Amino acid sequence: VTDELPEGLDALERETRPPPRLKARVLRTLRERGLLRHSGRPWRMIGAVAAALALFALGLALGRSTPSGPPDTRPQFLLLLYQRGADTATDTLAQVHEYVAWARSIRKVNGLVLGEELDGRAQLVAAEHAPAVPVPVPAEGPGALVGLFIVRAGDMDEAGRIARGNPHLRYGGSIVIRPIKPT
Amino acid sequence: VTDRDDRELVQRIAGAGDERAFGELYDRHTPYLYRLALRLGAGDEALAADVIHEAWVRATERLSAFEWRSALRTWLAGFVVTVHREQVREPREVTLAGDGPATEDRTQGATWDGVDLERAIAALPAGYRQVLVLHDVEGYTHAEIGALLGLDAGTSKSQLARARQAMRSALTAGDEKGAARDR
Repeated sequence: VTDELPEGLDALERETRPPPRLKARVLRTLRERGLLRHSGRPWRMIGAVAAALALFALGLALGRSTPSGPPDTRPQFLLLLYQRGADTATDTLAQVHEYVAWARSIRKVNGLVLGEELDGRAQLVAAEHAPAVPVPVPAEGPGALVGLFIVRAGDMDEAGRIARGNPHLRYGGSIVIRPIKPT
Repeated sequence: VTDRDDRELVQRIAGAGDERAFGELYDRHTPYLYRLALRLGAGDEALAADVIHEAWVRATERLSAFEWRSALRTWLAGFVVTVHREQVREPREVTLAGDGPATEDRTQGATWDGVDLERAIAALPAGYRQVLVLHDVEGYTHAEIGALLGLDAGTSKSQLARARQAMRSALTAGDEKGAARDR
């Protein structure tokens, strides 16, 4: 009898958790096609903005205070923080604490040079004599650029390890690392 | 999940483009749909994500026309199957050399764990895999499979018999390889 049901097939797993970014991708497409209207909770959005301001203000303070000890000559790396959509703005207070803890941990090893939030405006200068033209903040690719850090690290691998510890990744964001050329 | 819950969410999405309602519907059904897409695509995660993305977009475009003649999940799964077929462009029917009634079944009484079974499913030719997954794992009838895959019910039945046979051969071959390694 060869066409009997092989045992166990009907007991296989029926569900698998999809990748977290897939939902943001689906939502973005549906918004772009006018099938959904953004329904983020206003208080959450306000909380997210306030949290971001607090975060980057603290990052600023941490980054600009003069570190003790001899000058650090390690290379600097720019960490560009990207965010897709607004649906990841959840527990903003917890988020602030996580960012602060991360910034402090980097600061402890004299690794933090700068932490800033970017506001929502952008201008494009396309040629030497062309005027600066206001443009929308690009939201394609990894998403909108929402913040940055400059950290010191021995090399790209170490910068990558530092970036992987940033809580931004746990909130659905992504980070692009760019080495800064020494001057 | 009740049909009533789904109806309420669908009304909110189709009527007002309610993104929060969509998020709830997505969270409720996507783990099942994603697992189905993974299985149809032999575990290809990138393909499964693309399939789910496109399936949700198409389903959302047609939500207001859904007539509730089946469960919403069944209707959504139809999009997954259709999109998967389009993306892989596989033939609807597969014939293997040497197909025919088996004269000996060494698998009777044998049992396999989930990993063995998933591996054997993934190794099946795509046409067989679709029918076997839909019938033996997901519980669709031959009439439903015929409608989903554009086959008549008789073809679905014969495909299933061949799929089971191919799967049993793969499982037996796996057992023999394992035994040879053990020796």
